Amino acid sequence: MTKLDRLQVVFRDVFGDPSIRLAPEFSPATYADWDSIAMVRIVLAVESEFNVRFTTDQLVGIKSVQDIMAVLESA
Amino acid sequence: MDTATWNRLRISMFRLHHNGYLTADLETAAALLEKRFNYVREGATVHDPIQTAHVLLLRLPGDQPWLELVTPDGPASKLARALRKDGEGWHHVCYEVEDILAAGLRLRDQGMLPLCEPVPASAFPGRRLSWFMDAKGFLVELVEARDRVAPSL
Repeated sequence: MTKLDRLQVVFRDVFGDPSIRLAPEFSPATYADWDSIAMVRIVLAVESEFNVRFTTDQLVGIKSVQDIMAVLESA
Repeated sequence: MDTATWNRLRISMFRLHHNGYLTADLETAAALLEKRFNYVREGATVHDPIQTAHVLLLRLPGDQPWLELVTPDGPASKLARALRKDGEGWHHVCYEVEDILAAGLRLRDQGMLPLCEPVPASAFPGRRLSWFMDAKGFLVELVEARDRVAPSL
């Protein structure tokens, strides 16, 4: 599985929505249930799944899946 | 100091400073608290442009923790969406800490995520605050202690 595929599993699990298909532009602006609580759940799940730890700057900078993927690619 | 030592000494790096209550109308909420519980206002309403909020602190006579009323400072406020979505209600818990960075690391290790780096606190001049949230939406504010003896406004 690619990192995006694994990330998609995380998002589907967090939101309980098996229909989610991730793209870089997937964001709180395009998915209404992605609020601040969901953001925390997503980040904690991503950290667990990928064994990474976001810095505060990286956390604050997450505006879309693209930003999460950038962190995962640089890890 | 590790968690086991904190627990053994029966002390905490966190001291309850205030509970934050989100309201659409500071004046109405304050008046109700005064009438119902004899809360006393401490200081004037403060505008915090970083938090995009107006805040008012009240306290029960002889009590230590404050009750902080918070309301959006406009339609673009970070609090406006919370108010629209969830209505009025308890918003956050604030702990006073001597070392805001160390306390933040403790919360990070305990499953809370920082929502920002420490920023100046308009309601508490000269001190910084930061925000943390866990996966259940429990919102915590940390505010730097002004002195090491007791919580202070």
